[in-house]
Amino acid sequence: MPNVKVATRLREIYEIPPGALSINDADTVDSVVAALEDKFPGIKGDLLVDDGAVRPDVVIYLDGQPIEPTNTSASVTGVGTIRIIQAMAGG
Amino acid sequence: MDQIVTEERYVRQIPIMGETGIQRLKQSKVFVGRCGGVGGTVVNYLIRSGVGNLICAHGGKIVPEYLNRMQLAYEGDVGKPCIDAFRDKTEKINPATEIEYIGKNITEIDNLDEVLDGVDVLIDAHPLFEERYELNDTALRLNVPMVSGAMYGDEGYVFSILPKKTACLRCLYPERPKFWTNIKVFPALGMGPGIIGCSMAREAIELLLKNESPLLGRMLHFDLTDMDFSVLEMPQVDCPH
Repeated sequence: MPNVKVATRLREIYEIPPGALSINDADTVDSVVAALEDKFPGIKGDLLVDDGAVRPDVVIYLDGQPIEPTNTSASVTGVGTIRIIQAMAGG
Repeated sequence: MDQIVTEERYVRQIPIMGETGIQRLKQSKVFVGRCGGVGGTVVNYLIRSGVGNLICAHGGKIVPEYLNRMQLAYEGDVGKPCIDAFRDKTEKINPATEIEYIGKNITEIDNLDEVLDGVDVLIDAHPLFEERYELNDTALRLNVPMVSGAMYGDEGYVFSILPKKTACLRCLYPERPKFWTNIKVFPALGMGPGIIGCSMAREAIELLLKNESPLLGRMLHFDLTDMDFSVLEMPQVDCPH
């Protein structure tokens, strides 16, 4: 059961509390995104583009390793932390 | 061989980098793109560490909302050109540091390649993606390493790129987020930019001393809301940019 860390900006929009979210019954990145969409309707559009790839301003990491944008079928079995990191430019 | 003279201000660094390292920093040149919350912290620590030459590019004037995070801006600076406020501070840290201040932001500098001639490391502390992509492309063109740091609220990251050896900013984020259209979009509390600036300064020094650093091709990411710090791998790609 991976912990999911969501980017700050997305937490603001979808009113997700700080810290990690626990996602049950998810075995791929796609199913994690689907579970997030169930909880926070609309978030999928901020994570994936229409053809299902990860958005170009987002990188998804599985225990510190980035997935290929088109590899959303990647397994999350045994993954401890999934990080969704949006591009930032604050300075 | 000439006898190296190390000023007392640097003696604590000798065990870390040796006197030859301190000498090397004195002969180094670093470009800092924007000297705000992040970049101003980098400038502060590079000067204090003995980096001998800096180019600092930052346009505009100091406004009150800068005061919550910009180390080089004080109450009395409001309304002044940013570079005048910054110069006033940096001169007091170490007047021997050679700093060329440019009162423009990077996308407004016409002869950028000329300006950056001879620079050893580029610092990307820009609040706009257009400026970040500009410096990224310049780093690739000039084959100069770049240290990039950015934040949004209590979250931030730092990574370093070595042209043609690591992923670049365009490899990592081919596009900016749709909402990032101006410099007022990000919430900020001074600690985040401070942590990023310190980490970037240390990366820059490691690159200057050894031409390698811990965050080449990797990203330090943090979220201060739950004090979650981690080092992540950047995509392993043959950078096509």
